[in-house]
Amino acid sequence: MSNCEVQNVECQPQSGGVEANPTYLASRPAVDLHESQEGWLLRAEMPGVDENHVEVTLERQVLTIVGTTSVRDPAGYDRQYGEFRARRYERSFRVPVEIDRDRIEAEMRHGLLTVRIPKAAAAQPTRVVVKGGPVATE
Amino acid sequence: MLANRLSSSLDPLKALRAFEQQLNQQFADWLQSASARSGQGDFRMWTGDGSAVVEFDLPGFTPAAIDVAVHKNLLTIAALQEPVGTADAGEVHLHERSPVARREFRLPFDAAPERTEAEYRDGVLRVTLHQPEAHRPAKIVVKGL
Repeated sequence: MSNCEVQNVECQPQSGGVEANPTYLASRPAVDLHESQEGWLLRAEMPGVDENHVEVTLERQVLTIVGTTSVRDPAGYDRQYGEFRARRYERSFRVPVEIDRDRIEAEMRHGLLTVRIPKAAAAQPTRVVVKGGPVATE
Repeated sequence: MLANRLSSSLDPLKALRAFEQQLNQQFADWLQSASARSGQGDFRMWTGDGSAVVEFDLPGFTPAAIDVAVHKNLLTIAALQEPVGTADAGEVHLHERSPVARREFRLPFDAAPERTEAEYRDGVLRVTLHQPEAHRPAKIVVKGL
């Protein structure tokens, strides 16, 4: 995939990006991405997004996260300052082939999307037992 | 037509203007990106009759970890994320989030702390503030003689 922003980690969204929809304010969520022996842990900030308005998709090797907010004006108040448009967060990442696609988990809590991407068993490091040779006898 | 082509190809400023356009576009892109990253767009304010509602984007915190303080017309928000667990150990590929947040916001009036309410939902903190009754303009009844 040639449109990756960061080699082997991040890609441009396949859909043409958040700018494709002018109704929404395009936002690129801040992200933490950690890798351990078991897999990858992705945390993305999407303030204002609840669990019903977030999508995590994996197509081939590209993981895409999308979240949308709605306008929540308080009743009886006038807009004074700030950006009041609904927001659409979107970002895509390239994941390695060696992942366990069936065990990917995602959770949305307090405007933070957490995605756990386990590595396939074959990709996890295996500890090799070193056997001792026969004891030499004189 | 030939004259137009000649004048166009001989225009010494054409390349310069194209370069200027390109530079302006790149600067506009950078400005938009920098503005989004600096957090300038992460709050909103509404005003009503002697009251105001201010929203801050504070994703990834718990309600207990957010402090809201009001002193006269200054609203201060401070938040600290819980320490990350051992599950986060490993190689860090991207680290863009901040574990702390602090915002100060100047209100259009002195607020009554005892009437201030804060609600945290989906990573957005909404604070409702009211002007003290004593500071609000009082309507004086005009008596007829």
